[in-house]
Amino acid sequence: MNDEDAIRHACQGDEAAWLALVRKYQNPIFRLAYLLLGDADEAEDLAQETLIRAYRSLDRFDATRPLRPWLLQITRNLAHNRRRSLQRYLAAVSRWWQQNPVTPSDPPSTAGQLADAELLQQAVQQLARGDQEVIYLRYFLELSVAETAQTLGVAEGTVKSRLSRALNRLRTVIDAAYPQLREEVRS
Amino acid sequence: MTVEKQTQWESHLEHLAADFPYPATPDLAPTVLALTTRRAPPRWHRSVQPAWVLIFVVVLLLAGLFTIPPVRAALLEWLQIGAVRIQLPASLPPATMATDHQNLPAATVVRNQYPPTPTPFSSMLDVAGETTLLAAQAQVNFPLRLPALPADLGEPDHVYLQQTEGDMVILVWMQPEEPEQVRMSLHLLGPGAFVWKMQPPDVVEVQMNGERAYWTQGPYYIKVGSGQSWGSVRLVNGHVLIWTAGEITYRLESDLSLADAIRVAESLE
Repeated sequence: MNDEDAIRHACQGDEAAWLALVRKYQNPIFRLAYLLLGDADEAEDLAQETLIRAYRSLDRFDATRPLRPWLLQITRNLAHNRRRSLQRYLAAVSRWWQQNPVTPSDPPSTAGQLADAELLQQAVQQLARGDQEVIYLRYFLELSVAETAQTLGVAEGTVKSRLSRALNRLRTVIDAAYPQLREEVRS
Repeated sequence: MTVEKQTQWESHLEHLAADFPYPATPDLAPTVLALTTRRAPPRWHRSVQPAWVLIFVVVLLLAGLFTIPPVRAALLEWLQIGAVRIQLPASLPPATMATDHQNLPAATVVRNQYPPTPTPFSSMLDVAGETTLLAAQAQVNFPLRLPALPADLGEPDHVYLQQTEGDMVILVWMQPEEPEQVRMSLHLLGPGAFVWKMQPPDVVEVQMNGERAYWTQGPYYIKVGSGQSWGSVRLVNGHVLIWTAGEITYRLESDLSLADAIRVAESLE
């Protein structure tokens, strides 16, 4: 059963069709959520929320359109909301920390302890949110330019120009702070 | 960067990213299924039929209302300035003319029962297409003029560019002492973009450089879009000055007074 049929069946209450869609797309949804939030539990929670919201809107979704970008778009939007709440929480924690300084007991992980791919993600995290998203979608989740454009709600040409700018900025970050990765990308 | 280098860099990036050690994806199906199929599924034959009945009833009611002349006049009341359409509430008379913007008619002021506050930053974050001033300028074919006033304003803290069938650039300045609070935003709407302001409590016609402009006061909702599609719907709680220059429509959203807003608007360079 293709996606279009599965969506139509799921809208008519076919549990098996909905189950098939969940199993097919839970992986990219969870992975994008993990990349954006950086925490497996949070990502699982967000992925569940994405699928629940998708189900509730499924009857309004144009089944002839590709499903994956739409699901990832929901994931991205929910992650934005969550990060905004998190930022407010972190700001409060930061204010408390400044008033009640505590010596940290665990040193932060050093670059040498991480694999190159993790270092790369750490470098990507230094970029602006928009740059991160386009790199995650295109390279980490391996979406096509068209799918990336649909997920971000922009034209394909815009994705290409954003990608080009994001890559240049990433390169600058790597040159400045990730010598191990710099050697890798130049080898 | 040359195309070849970009390709080499990209391919290496793809290779590295493919090795990223994600945690194992949990099986979401049991929880999701329990939470979604417990309630009635969105079956078309259940949801569409009541919707059609509702639409029929609404059309019938509207048709009835339109036969009453005063109601018809009130329902059709809206104003257009450039890319902005202002839908007036049925009870609000057509925009009050304020020739002297220092001394607004009392009737237009008392109707607004809410203190003017700048739009919260969270609503601005919902706007898609964050970019830089330079990048936005490179992609639109009209000049991004910035206000020279207030003197301490400087360049915007956030720039958004939305391009579909019409270009729309949104410049946002934050409060220096409250970085999460918007100080002012300036929307530049090119041909094709549009904004629909839904029943602002107060609408005043003012003059700017001898041209018609409008001053609205929140709270009210706006719908933003371009071409044939709507983008976002957002609550506006501040004051907005709307004017046009050539094909470009400007809307300045702030908690400034009308006189100060006009001074800021006239300082664009």
